[in-house]
Amino acid sequence: METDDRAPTQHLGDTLSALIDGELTDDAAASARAHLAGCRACEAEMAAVDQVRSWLRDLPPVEPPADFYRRIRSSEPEAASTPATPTLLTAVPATAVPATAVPATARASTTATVRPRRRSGVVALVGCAAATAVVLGVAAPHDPETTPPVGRFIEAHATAAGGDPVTHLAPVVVPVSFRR
Amino acid sequence: MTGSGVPTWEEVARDHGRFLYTVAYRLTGNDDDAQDLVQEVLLRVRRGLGTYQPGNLEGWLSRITTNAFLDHVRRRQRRPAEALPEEPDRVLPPAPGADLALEARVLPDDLQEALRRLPPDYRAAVVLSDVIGQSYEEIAVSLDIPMGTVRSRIHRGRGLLRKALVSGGDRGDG
Amino acid sequence: MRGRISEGVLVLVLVASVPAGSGTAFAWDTGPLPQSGNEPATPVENPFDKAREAATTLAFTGTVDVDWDGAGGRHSDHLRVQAAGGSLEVRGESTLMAESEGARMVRRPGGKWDLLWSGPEVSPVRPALGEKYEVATVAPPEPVTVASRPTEIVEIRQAGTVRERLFVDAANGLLLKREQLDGRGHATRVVAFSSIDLEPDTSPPPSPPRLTDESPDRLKSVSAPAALPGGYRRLDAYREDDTVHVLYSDGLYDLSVFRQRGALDDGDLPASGTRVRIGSGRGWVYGWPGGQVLVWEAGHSVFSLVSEAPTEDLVAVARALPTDGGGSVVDRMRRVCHNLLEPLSP
Repeated sequence: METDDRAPTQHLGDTLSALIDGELTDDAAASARAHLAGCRACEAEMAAVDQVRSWLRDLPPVEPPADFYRRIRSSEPEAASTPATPTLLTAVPATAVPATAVPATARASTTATVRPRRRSGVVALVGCAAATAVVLGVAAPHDPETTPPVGRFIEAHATAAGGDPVTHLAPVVVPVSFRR
Repeated sequence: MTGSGVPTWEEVARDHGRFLYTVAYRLTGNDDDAQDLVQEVLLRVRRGLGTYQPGNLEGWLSRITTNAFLDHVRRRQRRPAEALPEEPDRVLPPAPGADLALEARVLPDDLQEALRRLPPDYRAAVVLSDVIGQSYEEIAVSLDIPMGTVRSRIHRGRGLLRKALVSGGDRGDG
Repeated sequence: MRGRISEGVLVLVLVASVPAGSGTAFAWDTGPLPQSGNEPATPVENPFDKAREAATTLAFTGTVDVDWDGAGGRHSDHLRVQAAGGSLEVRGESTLMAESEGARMVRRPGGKWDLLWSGPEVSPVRPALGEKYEVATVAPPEPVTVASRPTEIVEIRQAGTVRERLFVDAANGLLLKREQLDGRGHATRVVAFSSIDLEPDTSPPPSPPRLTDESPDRLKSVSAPAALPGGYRRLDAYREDDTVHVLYSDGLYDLSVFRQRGALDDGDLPASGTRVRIGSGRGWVYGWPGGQVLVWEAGHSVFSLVSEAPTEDLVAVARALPTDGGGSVVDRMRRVCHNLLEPLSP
């Protein structure tokens, strides 16, 4: 095996993935290939990357359980009563705290985000106010609400549970009202 | 598809349920969470269809799915994911006989298990790139990270997967 | 950038995704469910196994009393039981439950049958009774009869305390009376035959209908703890609509955990519960003839726990179930603000 005297930091590293994925400019790709021609280490690594990439690309689709299509077609998402195009203002709880309550550290963090974007100042403050209200413990406005069907759960438990049928089923039959 | 090019919720669910489920399963690693994730995605899709601009529907769906997945992961973590220790760029040290490992075959279940063990941010990048086939730019938008981070996460994610499967795997027959 | 893909959809969900509080942490274990055949044979004889075999093979009719401590004191109810040809029915005033060929059904007031469970393809293997409990046959000073049948008495103890006292038909192993005892020896629940006829003559055998209704989806993998405090081992998991039902057992008591996504709407909960606190979530406890139900919310989920296990077991399990939560306040704020601002870019 050829010795490779170049220091590790001069090897291609993640450039190899970019090269295989076709994400390098023509110049960068040419330069990478030139390095590869003379570097056994990177050539071996390239083969390794290519291998795991093929494994992943060859993964078959995953079939959901048989029940799944029925369920997603028949279940109405909780958003049924929500307008199709919600506006930010509808998301604000009535008890929203004024924007000045937003901690300075949080605000500094938002301005440090990587990608520059234009934003509307007013709506931004309202949005952060909503978030503050939520963090302070005001009920999140859009968690769907659910009530467990206690009687039905008891039946489900009794039927899945094992053991002696008489002493397990008898209590379930006893008339107990679980309706409010 | 409706004439305007914007699909209805039912069309999305019907035509893309299997695609969504595959992505959700590869990200979460189990049926239970995958079903929850798809339900969540469809909920978000339903709310967002009014703002969808016709274009790459599957790309849009992938992005929603990954974001829903990462939201879910962040909610469940007790503390932020530890950053992996810095390692030299190399994926595998060159060694005699390393070529033999290149012939290895991998079972989908083993690969899925190795995926599941990847830290979520790496898992998301690798799934978007290699399972769904998004470009680096699309992934940068999906995950809201710079391109350089996309590249390094994909590369390291691949390396970790390979290390788990080739050197650490139980399968002796390769 | 190609196209305008709005993240407006994320706005509402992210506002909602900040949890109100977080409970105790416990690592959810994602993994496949145990398959039968991998467990070693149990050396301790389980009286319930023999009782089950007797109940599903013999023919008999009888009446059963159920006594239990509920809200407002001790209750007593009387039911009729009939078994023949492998089918068994327990009949109350207006409801009936039947078991036939491994399927359990209920017939509700109004006559409609409902298939609740048609059995898993592979029977879940419970922990051996002897792992957590001691089983001992007790010889009373005088023979004890139940419904005029001579019985043997079996006690099931945990760390010396008697938890269950079983009166088993000396001739055929049928369970004639079952007492569940609290830590002080008081029977909180008793199910007992008050009369039994083991040679029923002309009554027609029970014949529950063959139903092909969809039973819950049995899950092959689930994100739920493999074990819970108190020796409860995960056996099985099912899914129906938005509810996941995970079944656990400690060898004697089975325990079901139901998980639904969402916030708890307590407006429609039954009125008779006792309020409790689980971690930082509010909850309610209900008693019913066969045990207790504990309902509470944690993070973005509503949990319901159904079991005949003693209260201290239920509380320990409830405290150990994981919740959605995490991240510092600043992290959560930053995330929420960050994502709220995204959709506003034109």
